[in-house]
Amino acid sequence: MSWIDWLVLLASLVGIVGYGLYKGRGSNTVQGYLLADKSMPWWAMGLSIMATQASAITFIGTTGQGYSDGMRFVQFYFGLPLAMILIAAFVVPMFHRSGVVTAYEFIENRFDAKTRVAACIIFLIQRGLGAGLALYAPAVVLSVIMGWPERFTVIIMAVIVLAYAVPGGIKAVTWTDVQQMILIFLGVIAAFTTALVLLPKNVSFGDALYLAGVSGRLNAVDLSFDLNNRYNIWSGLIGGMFLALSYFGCDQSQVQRYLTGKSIRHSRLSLIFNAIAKVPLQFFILLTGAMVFTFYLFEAPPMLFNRVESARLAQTADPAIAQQLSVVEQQYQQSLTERRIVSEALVLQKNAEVTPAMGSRLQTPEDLRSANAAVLASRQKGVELLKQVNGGVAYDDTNYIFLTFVMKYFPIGMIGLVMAAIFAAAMSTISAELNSLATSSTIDLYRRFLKRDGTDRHYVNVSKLSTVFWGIYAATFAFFGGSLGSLIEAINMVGSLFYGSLLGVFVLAFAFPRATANGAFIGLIVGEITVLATSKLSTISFLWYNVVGCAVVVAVGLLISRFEKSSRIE
Amino acid sequence: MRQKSSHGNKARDGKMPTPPAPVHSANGLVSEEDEPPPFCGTWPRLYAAIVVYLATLITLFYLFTRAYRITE
Repeated sequence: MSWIDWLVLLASLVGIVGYGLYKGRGSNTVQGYLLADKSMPWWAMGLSIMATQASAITFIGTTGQGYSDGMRFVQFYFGLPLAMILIAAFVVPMFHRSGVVTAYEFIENRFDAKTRVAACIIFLIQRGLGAGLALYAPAVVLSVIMGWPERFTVIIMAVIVLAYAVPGGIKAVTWTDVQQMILIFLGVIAAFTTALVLLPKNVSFGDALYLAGVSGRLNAVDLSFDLNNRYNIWSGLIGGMFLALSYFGCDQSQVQRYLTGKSIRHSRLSLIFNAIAKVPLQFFILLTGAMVFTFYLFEAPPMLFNRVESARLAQTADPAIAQQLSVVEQQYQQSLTERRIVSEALVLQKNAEVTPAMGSRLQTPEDLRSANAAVLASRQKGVELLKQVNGGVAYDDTNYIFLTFVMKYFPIGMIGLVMAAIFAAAMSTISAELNSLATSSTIDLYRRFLKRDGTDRHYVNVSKLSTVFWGIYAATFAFFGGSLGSLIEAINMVGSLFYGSLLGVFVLAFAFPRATANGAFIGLIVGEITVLATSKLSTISFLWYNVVGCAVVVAVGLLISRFEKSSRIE
Repeated sequence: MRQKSSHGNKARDGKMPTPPAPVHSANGLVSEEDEPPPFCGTWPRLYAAIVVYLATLITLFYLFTRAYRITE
């Protein structure tokens, strides 16, 4: 990076920390520190909700998904607007009226303390893991750019986030989220525009879409119904809606955003804003990934995008592997050349610049697909060699694709802007998650079970200490992030293991007045066991875990509740 | 739970419907829950508009997918 890029990045980081400290000053009460004195306007909450969900992983992982797997991942978000409507209509008024600080406090009001603790612990475990993954993503950025060890950068990032999240509480977190989301929007627009500008001069946007389409990268909607297919319209609408209901309706990291609203109206509008903007934003980010793929049809991509692993393979001491690598690299370069020739020919043909009358052999879309397959096959041979060098450890470089592209081809200044957007995305998610983890552990566990008569100041101090604790916890988990594959999927998978059951408890609380505390508690335990067993024993897509978990909790919960009531009558 | 909804006053003379009158609580203030959204008049209408918007988006994405599912 040039000094201009560094300047853009450092100025944005300093600006965010300074702004957070400024906006968070005077948060000395529990209401102020954890709920911003219920003073937030809808647009600030809306941007904060979006920024909390859009982590650095959204940038790094989703563009990588667009490159390697196409746009089908956008279907994952189809259920989100429906979930937002249900939460705005039913959940927001309930939470506001009950005057709770956490979603799990509401569960105790409705059921009992043990169900509240169980729900709270599920949240703390999975959101703690999520915070660790969100912290790991920017560490990947710096390890690629600077060659710094990932663990060192994890610690640096955690310290920067804690610098404003600890003293400023939720006011600092929300107002910096607003700034950070604006930066993310700018970064996405810059990345998309630059990817288009970098295409060869004779390749228009229409040509790029054509080539991406031929290569199967514009597969935004798949109507087929298949439980084992991770992303299709049904898993997106149904599974995605359940996941979004769980995340936005039962996860304290999101519930706390809209609990800070001035009124029910403001909280509802913040969710409606996300219902409108989220799907197009994800579409745009995935399309950027697809355009990066098109760009690499004309420029040679590295065989392995993780340059550290690539260097390890190149420096292998095993002469047999070194010899095979030389052959594979030759095949890879050859396949890239052939693919570029086919791509160029297809563009010329599409624009009617080459016709059969001119004597050229016409290329077909099938030729490009074969060329893509050849590139993929030779790359796969390289991956297999790397696995031999690494003792069989799985290799996934989805998260390195976009950054490799940015660092090599983006102009000065633009690199700094994209990096700033990635850091902003990471910081907004991590700060909100640490803040909510601290809130839940202070309110649901410490204040509920350890010290019920403390002063406001005491609980604010405990919240600050909890924030630091969760920062350390997340950093520890982040140390092991490298072996989890695509980060965006890893986070959603971790969430799906727990979210469905949690949602089931809230559905019992909101929709079934006859549900009893024991019914909800036993339902939660059985639901969680069922989801974990399903994930181990079946091959269904992880999005369906949310549906399974929720359905089992509700069914078991209602059964136990009915049994309890009939026993009492007898 | 009970969801209170206030429907817009549909004009009988064919003119544009007017926003609903705010519902007043016992103390004479507008109930917080009944504050209308800034557009569409009522919350149920706004939610319906979001569903239509989502259906339109999915349809457009489907047409996009079909347009670029190039086989020949």
